[in-house]
Amino acid sequence: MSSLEQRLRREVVRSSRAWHRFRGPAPMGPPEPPECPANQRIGPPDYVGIGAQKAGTSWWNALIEAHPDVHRHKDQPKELHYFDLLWDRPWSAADATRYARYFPRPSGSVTGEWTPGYMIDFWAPGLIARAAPDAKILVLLRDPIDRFRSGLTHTDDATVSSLSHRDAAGAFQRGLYAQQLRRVFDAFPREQVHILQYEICREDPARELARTFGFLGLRTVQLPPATFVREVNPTTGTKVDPSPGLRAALLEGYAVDMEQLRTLAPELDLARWPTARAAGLA
Amino acid sequence: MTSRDGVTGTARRYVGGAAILARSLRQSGGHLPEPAAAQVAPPAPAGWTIAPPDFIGVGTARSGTTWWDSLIHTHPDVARVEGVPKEVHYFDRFWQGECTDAEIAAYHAYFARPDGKRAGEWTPGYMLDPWTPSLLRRAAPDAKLLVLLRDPVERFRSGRTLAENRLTVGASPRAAANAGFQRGVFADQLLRLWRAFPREQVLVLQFERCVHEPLEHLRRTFSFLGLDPEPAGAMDVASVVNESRGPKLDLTLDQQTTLVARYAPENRRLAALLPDDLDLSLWAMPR
Repeated sequence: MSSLEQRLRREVVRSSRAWHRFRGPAPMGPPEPPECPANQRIGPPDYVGIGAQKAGTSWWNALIEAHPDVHRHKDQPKELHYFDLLWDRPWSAADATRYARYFPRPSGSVTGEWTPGYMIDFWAPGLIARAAPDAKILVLLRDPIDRFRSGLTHTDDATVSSLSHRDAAGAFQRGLYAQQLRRVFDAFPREQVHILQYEICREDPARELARTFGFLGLRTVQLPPATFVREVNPTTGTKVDPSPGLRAALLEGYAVDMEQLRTLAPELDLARWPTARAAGLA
Repeated sequence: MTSRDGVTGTARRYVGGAAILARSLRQSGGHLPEPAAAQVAPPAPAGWTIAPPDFIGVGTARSGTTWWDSLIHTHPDVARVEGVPKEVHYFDRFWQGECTDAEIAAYHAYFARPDGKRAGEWTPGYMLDPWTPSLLRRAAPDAKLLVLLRDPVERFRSGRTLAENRLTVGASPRAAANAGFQRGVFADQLLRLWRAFPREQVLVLQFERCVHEPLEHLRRTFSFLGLDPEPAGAMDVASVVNESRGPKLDLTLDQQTTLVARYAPENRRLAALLPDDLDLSLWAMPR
């Protein structure tokens, strides 16, 4: 490919991204609630996963759903995005009733959803607490720089030169876990929130899944080992490898956040995160 | 959502986007706000010296920085080359955290000044971006840094009016609300800044106190910058610059309450970091 052609391609990608940023993404929102099947009942979800994006939530949610007592209506997606649009319009009691309609379940079953973007939306945890006050809250966290790398490639197969500083700032902010957790703990009692670490889940998924089942009040079951190896929603496209300068800047930025995490969520094993070790926090 | 709503909504976004684009082009003299290519400083007048900036304002957007910057530049010992903007936005494009010595020198070229005078700029977004503090340390290790903070709820409201994230974070209300909110989480931004610069090299001002006692805080600012504080007395401190244009979009009561509640823990952390410089009673806090 000639250098002119390369430049042209780059410009096309860059302008297309600029245009999409300008126009904005199509508004995300939930589909219509399903009809409640006969012999099932609707009610607020038993669990809601709220974060974090690019931290393995699709994988973990699939494992939870492998439990025989966990049910999800066939028309309901893993990510409902129910609260995405609720910043710009007032919340009403009907919104809570409508939320419950997404969760029909047979008697004795447990049901829920996992929208990883809820945690960054500053208005969402408070609204979830109004719509599903008894729901168990799941948060899956991952080394913030690993998450950043994965998050920056989230939208398309972007080349580094087509990314803007706002993409990078947004990806950075999603890894600031402490302020996000503070909002969650403001909305829910501490014991109603279960924090998982991707690195520990990867290392011993069976043990961690048993803990998740226990937290959700599910009976102990043995899943076939093959269940654990299936890759769900792996990152597509080229990961952006941060330059040494960006890596150093991210390290400084996340050090400030992880210092707060230490006291805010002492159950986190920060030593599992290379970024925490490099920052001298573990 | 019916398809008709979808079409109307899309049309509304296009029209709204076009209006924002037109305004943005007008305000920036025909250039898009996000420079992709190298930025070049206007030529320095003969006899002026080029050096790193003596001061850099780093925060925060919609907090009165244009007002304060214009007062600083009224001081007889502060110089700015014709054509250099208040906000140079030089480091926005270096989000990969690296720039060359030539690019640093090109930044310095914005700060020509006659002998004995001082020069600087104020880009309110510098403090937000995690890669900026270390780049600033490299480009201007001795610069005094200025931070002007305002009640984050008022800041958020004002940012909505300006559409501060025009063309940059997407026009979706969700993305704009989140980006606006993050700009008001000041404690983390300040802690990141303090990791790159000694605390005594950073002056944190509170907008509401500057409004109540402009002379006192202007004198403080001049002294911090190593300038004679006395010219403050003769300045027209009350004229407000860069007031929001157009009708203010007001927040609903729900939105106001949510913002106050969600900013409260961050404001308390900030106040603990700034026991002498921040008066939380001037900001909206939950009762």
